[in-house]
Amino acid sequence: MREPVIRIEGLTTRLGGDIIHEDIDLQVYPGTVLALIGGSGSGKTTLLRVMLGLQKPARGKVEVLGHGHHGSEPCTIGVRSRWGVLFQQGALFSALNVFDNVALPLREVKGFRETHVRKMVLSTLEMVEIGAENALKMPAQLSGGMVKRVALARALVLEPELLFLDEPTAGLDPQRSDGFVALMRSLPSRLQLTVVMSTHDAGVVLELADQVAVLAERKLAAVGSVAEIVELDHPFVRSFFRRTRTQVQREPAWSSRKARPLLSPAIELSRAA
Amino acid sequence: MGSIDFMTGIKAFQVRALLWSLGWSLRVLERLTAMVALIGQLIIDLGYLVRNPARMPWREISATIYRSGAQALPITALLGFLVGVVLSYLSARELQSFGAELYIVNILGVGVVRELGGLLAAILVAGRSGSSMTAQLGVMRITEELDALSVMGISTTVRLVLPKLIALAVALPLLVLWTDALALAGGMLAADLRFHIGYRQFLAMLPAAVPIANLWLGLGKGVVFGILIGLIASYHGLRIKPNSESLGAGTTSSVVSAITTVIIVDALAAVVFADVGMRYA
Repeated sequence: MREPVIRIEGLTTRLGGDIIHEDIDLQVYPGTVLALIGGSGSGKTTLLRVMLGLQKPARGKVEVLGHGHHGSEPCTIGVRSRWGVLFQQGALFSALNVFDNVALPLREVKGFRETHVRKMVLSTLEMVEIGAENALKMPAQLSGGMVKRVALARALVLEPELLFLDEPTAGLDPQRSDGFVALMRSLPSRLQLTVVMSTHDAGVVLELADQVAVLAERKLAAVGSVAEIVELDHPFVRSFFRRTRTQVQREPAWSSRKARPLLSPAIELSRAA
Repeated sequence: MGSIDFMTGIKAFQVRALLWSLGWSLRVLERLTAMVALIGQLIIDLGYLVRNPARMPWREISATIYRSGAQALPITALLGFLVGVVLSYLSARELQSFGAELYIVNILGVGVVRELGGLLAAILVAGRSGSSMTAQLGVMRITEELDALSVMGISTTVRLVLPKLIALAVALPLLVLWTDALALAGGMLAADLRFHIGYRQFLAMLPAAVPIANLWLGLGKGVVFGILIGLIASYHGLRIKPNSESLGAGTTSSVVSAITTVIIVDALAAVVFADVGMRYA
């Protein structure tokens, strides 16, 4: 049995005086594309931040790529170079141009030579469909869609095993959102990625995810395949998928991959009361 | 009955005051702890950079020297020059009444080189660059750039804080020297107009009137002020929460704390180094 890439046990998170998560267990296995869904304020982004070590859990154990961060111990730099993160607003460094933004992890984390950095940056930009003519533009000169693509390039440039996406299509118009989703669909199979994303976009879940975790009332209300979750009798899930329920029957875009591991059998598809 | 109510009120007030003091003390303790943690992290980072000089963020250091030092030259020149003129004119009236006009060189020299040059430059840099550094870090918090650095495994303190401290420790003494020169120039001009003490005479008297230790003291304070301003600006910047209200409050606190700290440290230095560089008759 393969080891999970992410293992969360008994997680409780507090922000100020508020309890955001209570006693959450979750395991994500290699090759999975997991979507975290939930209403506003349900703690999707906070859960991602806990996984990334940006938010200390009040209680519980969080292990990512075999390294734990138990509240005060952030995981090592070595582990951080094995994951990539796409933040909601891109989080491009406003003082650096597109090229330098993507090159930053190569220079700072890996210390590669400039000729190698140049090759890797240009090939990654090409992969996310950003032309070399945009390499010298500053982030302020880019459209929202381009910012997301450059941020994705920066997340992918170290060839990570694990990719975190925080609301990948937030702030994009439908056309750009579709373009970004189409780009994302091609990546996991090409790069052998495990993906964890938080999203409020049912279309993105149906297009990209093969597993869904539902956060509601501080708990993990359910974890399962997209088809299982869509059929779940839960008020949030019903309203979330209402508009797109008819699309569920169609073949998931990433089903072409040979290995489509499920989440741990230990985590039962639980139904909220 | 009335006196019982009064006593209950007094006790309630005392309890509230005690709780308020306790809360305030805890807040101060928490801030001190965070500041000590930041200083500790910077010492560790400095050790890391000494062992790995190739990782030294030269670009950030030189950019900060340019922004905080070179770009501050015009404003420090103007203020330094005007303060020199004002100091010279104010002293002139008193000195004339004693027939001690020539002592203008001593007053200006010691006052500017030992105290005013450094203080003026530090207050200007705290207001100009300290606020900008805090705001920069705050905006990076709001736009998640700090988080992006962190998740990439890039040290925020090595990349963003240490370069500011090193750059200010280099730029501020140079600005102090520049402000000293311009303030003395302003004072010289006023002395020439008021007492007809020519430039050559003024400059010839200056080395004897101002022992060189005053210059070193002024420059040394410049280095310390630079580090303190960078440290306070970064501390407040890193504590900013991702909202615009926190950004405004953090920037204001940064400038107020930096200027207050600079003045307190200057006062302490005045007491500690009271016997250094002074000539007694």
